[in-house]
Amino acid sequence: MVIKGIKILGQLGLYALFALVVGYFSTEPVYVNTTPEEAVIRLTFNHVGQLRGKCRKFTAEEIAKMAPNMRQTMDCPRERLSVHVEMLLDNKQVYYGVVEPSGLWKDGESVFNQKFMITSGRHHLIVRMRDSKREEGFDYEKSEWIDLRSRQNFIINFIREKHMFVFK
Amino acid sequence: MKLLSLGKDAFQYMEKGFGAIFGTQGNPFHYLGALTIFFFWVVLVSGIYVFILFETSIFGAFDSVEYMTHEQWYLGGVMRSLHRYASDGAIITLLIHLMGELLRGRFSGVRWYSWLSGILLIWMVFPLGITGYWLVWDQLAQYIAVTSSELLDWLPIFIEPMVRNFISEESISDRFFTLMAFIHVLGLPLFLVFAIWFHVLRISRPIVNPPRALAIGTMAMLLILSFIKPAVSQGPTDLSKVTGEVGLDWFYLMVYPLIGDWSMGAVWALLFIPTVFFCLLPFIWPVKKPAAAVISLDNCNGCTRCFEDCPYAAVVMQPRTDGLKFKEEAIVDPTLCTGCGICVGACPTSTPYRQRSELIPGIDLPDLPLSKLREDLLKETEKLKGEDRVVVFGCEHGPELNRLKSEGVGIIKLPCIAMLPPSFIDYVIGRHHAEGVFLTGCSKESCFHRFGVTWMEERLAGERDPYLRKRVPIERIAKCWGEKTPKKELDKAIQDFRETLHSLEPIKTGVRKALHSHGKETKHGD
Repeated sequence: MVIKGIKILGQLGLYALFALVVGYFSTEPVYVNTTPEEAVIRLTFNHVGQLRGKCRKFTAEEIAKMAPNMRQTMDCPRERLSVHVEMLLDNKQVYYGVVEPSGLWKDGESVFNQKFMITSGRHHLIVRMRDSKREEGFDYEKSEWIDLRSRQNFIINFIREKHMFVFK
Repeated sequence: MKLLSLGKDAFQYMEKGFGAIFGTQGNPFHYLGALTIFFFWVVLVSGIYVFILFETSIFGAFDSVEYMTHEQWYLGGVMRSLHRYASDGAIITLLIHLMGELLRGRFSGVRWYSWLSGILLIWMVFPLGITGYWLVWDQLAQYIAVTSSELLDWLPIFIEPMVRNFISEESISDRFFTLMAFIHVLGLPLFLVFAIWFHVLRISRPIVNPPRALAIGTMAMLLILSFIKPAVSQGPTDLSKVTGEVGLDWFYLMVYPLIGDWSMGAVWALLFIPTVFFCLLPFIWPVKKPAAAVISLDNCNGCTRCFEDCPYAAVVMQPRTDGLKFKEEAIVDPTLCTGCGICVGACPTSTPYRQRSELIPGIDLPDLPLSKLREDLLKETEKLKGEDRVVVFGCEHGPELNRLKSEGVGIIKLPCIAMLPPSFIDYVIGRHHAEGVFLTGCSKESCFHRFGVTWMEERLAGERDPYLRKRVPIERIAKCWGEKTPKKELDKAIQDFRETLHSLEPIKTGVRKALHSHGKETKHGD
């Protein structure tokens, strides 16, 4: 009788332990994803770089070599240039990278998405992008003083149609 | 190897501890797979109710969950909590089940199929739980949505980064949310049911339900937990902010904190490398596969006992091919046969009394033919001395036997205790090869070959073919099940048994007692 009682108590104890483990670890310990002092700047865009080569006319010889039903006069390369991106915060470079065009023929968009953990507060933000053949400098730039609130999710996008960066 | 052995010991001691409290019939360690499936049923039923109240829209999801949690706390809230806690419980039992099978070496040989399908099952269970949290669309869901997307974006799957769907209110797509709901509510559960079926497909009599007492106890525990600590949401999403403090469900999201701290490649490596390793484990682990059982058609009458008793569904019956007047014949699938010998113990032709012809049963093991077993038995008993001679028949997965050997104790090792046809016990005692027979093996519910001890017990009790003949004095048979039986306990059991044998009236030659009462039984280690 006593042994049976001990066994029942033991079972209750083990069920309680199981419940305790499940109940606790289902929400605890709390994970701190960002502290109140932090904010996030997310730089994200899709942009097509300029064409790598210019169109040229096929020579008569070249056209003659083509199948009659596939003859064309212009040779326009599909390949796009890589896009160069730079981000500066308070005049310090926090990112510089080259984004390759997507696609097997490198003829697609350069897709970029990255987040940066930043201390919240007032900052001077500069974002630049180059999509041309130029070797120095950038084709697009936006510079602004921003006030990052605690845990703010600050988005930088590039509007293709307007050729400009947008801060949100 | 030593670490594995230590782990196995620790696991078996824990199993034994639980057995002492829950009893062998209700030991949760013996029903880890069944408990996982039980949790899944609780998740399914509670999930159906939760889904009735749930609004499958990104704009209504949070409010509908809040309604069921607070307005209808007595049913909707309880169902939501059951849904969460049963999901968490399933992870615990699933991981212990996995660990137990690994430590016991139950992943190689013919068991590769169940092992591999089990590993792949895990890859369905985790996304199922994670997408569930996603649907609540609270702060935790926001964290999961962004972090999961960032993890997936690292893989070269999507051209457009998936995370862009969750970075501002304007970017959220209700359609994407509906897709998530579809995956969680229908897609993954359906796959999971099929995957569970695949998982148990190649074993006979899979245990998919825990004993009633254990099921009731588990359900009561979940219900009490649901009332004490109801599952609640963590505030509505605000995509203009990144999430701060989140109460993670560590059972499902244990890897998530690493996603912020490690590189994505390292996180994927952490997930994939162990998966690939465990998937390949059955094929890279050195294992000596015993030869599969073979059928001797001349001696097989198609009685189906081997087919009934095989724990791995390696024996199948087919119409007779040799023209004999029996309906069926047994065939063995060598890819499924583990060489446990249970079929040999079940065969009615496995009798050591056969003298006129060669001892070839209907089904036999090439590595340990029954004729050799009889030969070994005769050799072993020939050397025994005294008035209390004992033959110990032991399973190789049970307690260590060699050290038991003495002047009056002979040892016969078997791949599984159920390989021993009951007629051998009759033969040993009736023919005075020894005064008693001692049987050892794994514990009943964690038998290495699944049903070895159960079948043996039932044969001895006359509940399963082939029966132990009633003429065998049952008090001359002792049993000790449990691979972790302490040495002292086993020694004492054999010593006590020999003393009992001393006190019994000697069996007269040619006269056998027909006893129907229960004899002495020592049970240890369960």
